Amino acid sequence: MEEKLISALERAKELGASYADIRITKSFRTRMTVINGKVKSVVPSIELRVGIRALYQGLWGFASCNSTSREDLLETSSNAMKIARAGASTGVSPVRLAEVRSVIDRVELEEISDSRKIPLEEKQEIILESDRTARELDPRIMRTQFDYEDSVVERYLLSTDGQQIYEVNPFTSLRLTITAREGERIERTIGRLAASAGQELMAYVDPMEMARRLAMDALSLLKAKQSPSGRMPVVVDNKISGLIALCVDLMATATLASMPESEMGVFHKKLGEKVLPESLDITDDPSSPGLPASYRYDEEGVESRPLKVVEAGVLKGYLHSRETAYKHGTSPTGHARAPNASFLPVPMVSNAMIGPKDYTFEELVEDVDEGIYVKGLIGASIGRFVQCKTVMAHPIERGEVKDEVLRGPSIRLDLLKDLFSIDAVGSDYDYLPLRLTRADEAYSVSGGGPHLRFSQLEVI
Amino acid sequence: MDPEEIRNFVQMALEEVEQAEVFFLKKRSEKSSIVREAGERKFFGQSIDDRGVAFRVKLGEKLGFAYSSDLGEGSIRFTIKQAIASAREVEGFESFPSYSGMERRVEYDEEVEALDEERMLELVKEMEKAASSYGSNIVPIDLTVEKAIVQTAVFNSEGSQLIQEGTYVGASATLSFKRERPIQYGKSQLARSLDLIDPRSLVEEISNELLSLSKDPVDIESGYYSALLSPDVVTELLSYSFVNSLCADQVRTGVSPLAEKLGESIAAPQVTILDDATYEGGLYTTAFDDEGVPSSRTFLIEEGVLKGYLYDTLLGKLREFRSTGNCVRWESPLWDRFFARSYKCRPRIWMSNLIVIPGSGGVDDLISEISEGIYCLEIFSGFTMSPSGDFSLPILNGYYVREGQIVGPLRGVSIKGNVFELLKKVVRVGGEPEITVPNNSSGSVVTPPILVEKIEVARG
Repeated sequence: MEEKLISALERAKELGASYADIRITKSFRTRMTVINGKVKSVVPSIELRVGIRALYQGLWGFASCNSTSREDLLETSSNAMKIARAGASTGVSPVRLAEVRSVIDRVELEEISDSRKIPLEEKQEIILESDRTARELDPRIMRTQFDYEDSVVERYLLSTDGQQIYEVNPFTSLRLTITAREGERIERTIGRLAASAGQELMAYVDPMEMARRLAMDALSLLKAKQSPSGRMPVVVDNKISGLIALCVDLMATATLASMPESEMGVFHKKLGEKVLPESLDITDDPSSPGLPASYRYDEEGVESRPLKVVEAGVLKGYLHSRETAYKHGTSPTGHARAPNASFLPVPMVSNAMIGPKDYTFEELVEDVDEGIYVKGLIGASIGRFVQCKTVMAHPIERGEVKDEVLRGPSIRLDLLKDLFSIDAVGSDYDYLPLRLTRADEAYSVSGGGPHLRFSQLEVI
Repeated sequence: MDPEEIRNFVQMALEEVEQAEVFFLKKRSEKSSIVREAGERKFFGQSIDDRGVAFRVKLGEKLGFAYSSDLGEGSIRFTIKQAIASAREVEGFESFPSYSGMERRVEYDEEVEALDEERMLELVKEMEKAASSYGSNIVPIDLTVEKAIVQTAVFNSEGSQLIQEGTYVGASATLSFKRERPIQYGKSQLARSLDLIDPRSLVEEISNELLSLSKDPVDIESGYYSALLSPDVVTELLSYSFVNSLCADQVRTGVSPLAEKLGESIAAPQVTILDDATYEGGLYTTAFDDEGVPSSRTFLIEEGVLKGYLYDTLLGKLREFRSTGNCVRWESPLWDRFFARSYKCRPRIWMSNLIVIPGSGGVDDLISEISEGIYCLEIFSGFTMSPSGDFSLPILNGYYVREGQIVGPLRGVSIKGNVFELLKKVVRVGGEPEITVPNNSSGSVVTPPILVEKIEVARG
């Protein structure tokens, strides 16, 4: 294999490339869907993707295929160069790459279980049990769906700068969708568990408890009233604070922070400035084992490490690839990511976290005279303006969270303004696995944090 | 791909099973962009080749599915074994559909085939030139020209041997208007033949809109207003819960709010909607669907009355109907600007081209009918909509309208409501349809702008 890859890189060099790399991802995946207690589908697959990136006179050309035959690799390499050469007529600013240490390494699964070797029946068992837990709760639970996925992804990277890395990344996720119906009213709750692990995921968390809780939530939503709207004091749970962490880290990716013309470019030239309240510390850590976006080396062979993005409200660092690091005169941070080898690596969030502080939940709500406590996340559109649809809410009256359930409102916040109305940061911590999608790209990421209290927030 | 090779895959599967089906998809996409980063122009070009096969195998009452993007004999044999191992009972499944047919080009334009990197880049540069004629306040953020050639094939043991190939071409542009809080607006032209796209006029249209959107915003009170919904907005509102509720499997399980409503009036009489995979120039216009059933047109709503649902072969049989040719290999979050289908996805029921039959009048005519209301140009994606069709979506770009005239742009307002209720509030359908694609779904919507009454508009 290696010799074929080296030939492809040599082809790019012969054609004039100053730098080239070849990435291969081979994903072994099993997806399983259980609907109403029946295994509806099992989809095993093998996906092979090859991506070749070549730099010619400071211009990238990128080509991808799904074959590792010598001819296809050579053709793909030539295509990448053809594209880079065509771009030479645009007169755009040339790309330069920050220097990196050349690494030769192999990263295996080690003590993590290999899901390829676990029989399907074993994987099924806990899902079917969780399904029963949800359905047996109440006849109004009309539909349950469990979407399970495990994968083992082998990644290879070879570059003309001497990188030669093989890394295996495990991933397992379970998405639970519970639908309850009473008359015309249909309510759905969704939960997701995910980790860079094999079957260990089911030991980290309790899918049965989650299924039971989601079913209870769906049932209580059947009778729920509309949430009040307007600006009011709001306490948000870990799922929503995790989403906020994710948005901040996303805005701190060097590419978005390089777009002053866009509303995504809110952190443009803001390094060292106070951008958030002093109570917030936010990090991004792809090296944290087990979290959904965990890896040893990024797509450019840079070793992963935790990055302080915001410390005491001050923007401390951007998430970099080699290209953006050069532009900013700094070192790459290990955040060059790609959904697979058919995408170019770009700076991307991994596991974003808001650091917990000292308020207990009781202390967070005790000063709220009239407001709401919002929980759970259905989906969100993110950017400087974050709009998220929550699962449910409870009124807070005179410092007490009421049992009454309200339909999950949408909340909208301007990252640069509304985060300054955070006046208390909880002491707890939990994270939310998410898929960050943009057009055809989907990244596994996670956002975590404590409960947060906003003195005022827009509820829609 | 050589038909003999696909036939051979079917034979390989038949060594072990009673019936087998092979779905093959090959997509070659090319893209040229000039994007702006940190105030600098940047070139981006890529070429992606993706191909793979999916097997469905029948063993007794059971059906199995597996796919591979590695077409080597070893991987294919392994995939067949995986499909067998994954087989599960499927209620009502008897046989794969049998349709004979020959290799056929559908919406295939040789000019798209001949469009090379240099020409694509020239078109991008023309877009850049068009934008520069609007002065330095208008900045191109992303100018892209892309194309794809997609081939699909369905071969099965029951006699189907079908191959089709089509071309796709598109231009898209996102421009920004420089001001303290930059205003961005983007749009695409997507077509099957080169003569139907005009990248220069696209940039002109966006620039003119931006000049209007960059004026001082107008504040409006929350309340109920008439609203003109642009084709992009109609698409985001129709492409999730509404389409889902028309799928026969959702109807059968009772999850669909439109179940048991055939023949009932569910929309205003101005509304006629059909699914038409034979629509001339449509992005999802094909000769056959993803299980080889010939494409057709299906009336869903005729003059406000629910006329039909979408079926594949299996649901057609279970509901004593026929397939409407809506077997689609798509699962969220797969997204593609042209043709969001893949061998990686299990067949399901979904839309092809959703056609809203035009009425009359251009945007100006429709605006002139509004005494007080809004013109909603662009909203957040509708994918967070509940199964009951409830939505609450911020307007990204839109205007306040009074006495038939645009007064000024809107900021920070959302539209709220229920998509099924909204269909009853349509007062006029415009006469100028556009081909659009939803942001988080497969299929295309061909729709004119639509005027609705009494939609809730909320601040925030």
